[in-house]
Amino acid sequence: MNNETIPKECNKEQDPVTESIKEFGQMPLPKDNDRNKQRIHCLTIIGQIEGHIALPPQNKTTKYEHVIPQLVAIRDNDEIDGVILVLNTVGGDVEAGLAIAEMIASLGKPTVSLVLGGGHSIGVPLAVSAKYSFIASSATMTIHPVRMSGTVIGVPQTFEYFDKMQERIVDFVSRKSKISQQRFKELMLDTGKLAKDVGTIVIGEEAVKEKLIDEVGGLDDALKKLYALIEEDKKSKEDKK
Amino acid sequence: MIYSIIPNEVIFSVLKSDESFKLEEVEYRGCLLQIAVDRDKGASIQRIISTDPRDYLNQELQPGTIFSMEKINRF
Repeated sequence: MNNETIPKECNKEQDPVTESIKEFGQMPLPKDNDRNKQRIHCLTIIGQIEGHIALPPQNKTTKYEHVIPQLVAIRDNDEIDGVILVLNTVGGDVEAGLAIAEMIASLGKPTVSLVLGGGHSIGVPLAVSAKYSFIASSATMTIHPVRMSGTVIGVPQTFEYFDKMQERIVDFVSRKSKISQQRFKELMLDTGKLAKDVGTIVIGEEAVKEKLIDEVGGLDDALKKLYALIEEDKKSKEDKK
Repeated sequence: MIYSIIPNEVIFSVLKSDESFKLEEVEYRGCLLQIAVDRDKGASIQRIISTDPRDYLNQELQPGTIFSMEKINRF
């Protein structure tokens, strides 16, 4: 939008306001008249990522059938300039997590993620899927191997299958963050960190040191970065014109 | 396949069916809501499922707000 059109639009907005006051004696909600301000949406990823299996109701879940259409709507709506992704998740379904992560990575609009509390397991690819990522200094991320459940057949193919599943996660994370595949695998298979499990917990600053997350910060930092990315995005679009 | 720090046994453990866990989803004024339905008291909003930050400031949609059953039936 260039600056010349703004005053005209403001004038247009004046009329319905006065009309609303006259007719209904009330001010309309200040919704769309302030187009100068960047409009952002917020996607919260909480609890378990629910995929193909509906989880028992005591689990707090983020369902992909909610999130995926929301992301499509955000992409489709020109009024929305960017998205902040807020994560506090314990992990969940591999396919659903990767599906949402791929959607965010290919959104085509500025995105910033903020890990608060925890961004564990499948939360890691989600955290790195945004263009820029933040982690609160007290937040943690657990990186561990994919575990077995249900009937496990003791054949080499089973190992191969799990290795492939893991590979998908390792590949996505190394593609979307600055950590190398090798280093991420090392963290995943570390035996000296977790008391009862293989893997690593990284806390705040450590996640940045491992190049998994871009910066330590909070809400204000994340929003400032998002606004900056939106400005950059607008400029590059104008330059293309 | 679940990739989580919570063990599968915990995720899939079935607790005693507690009425308060029974949530329904309704759409109200273009916004998806998760509500807990109580046949006598009506339905209370538990969660707003939206990415629009303004929905969370909407007085009508504050978590805990109770809708009468008649209103729910009209959805």
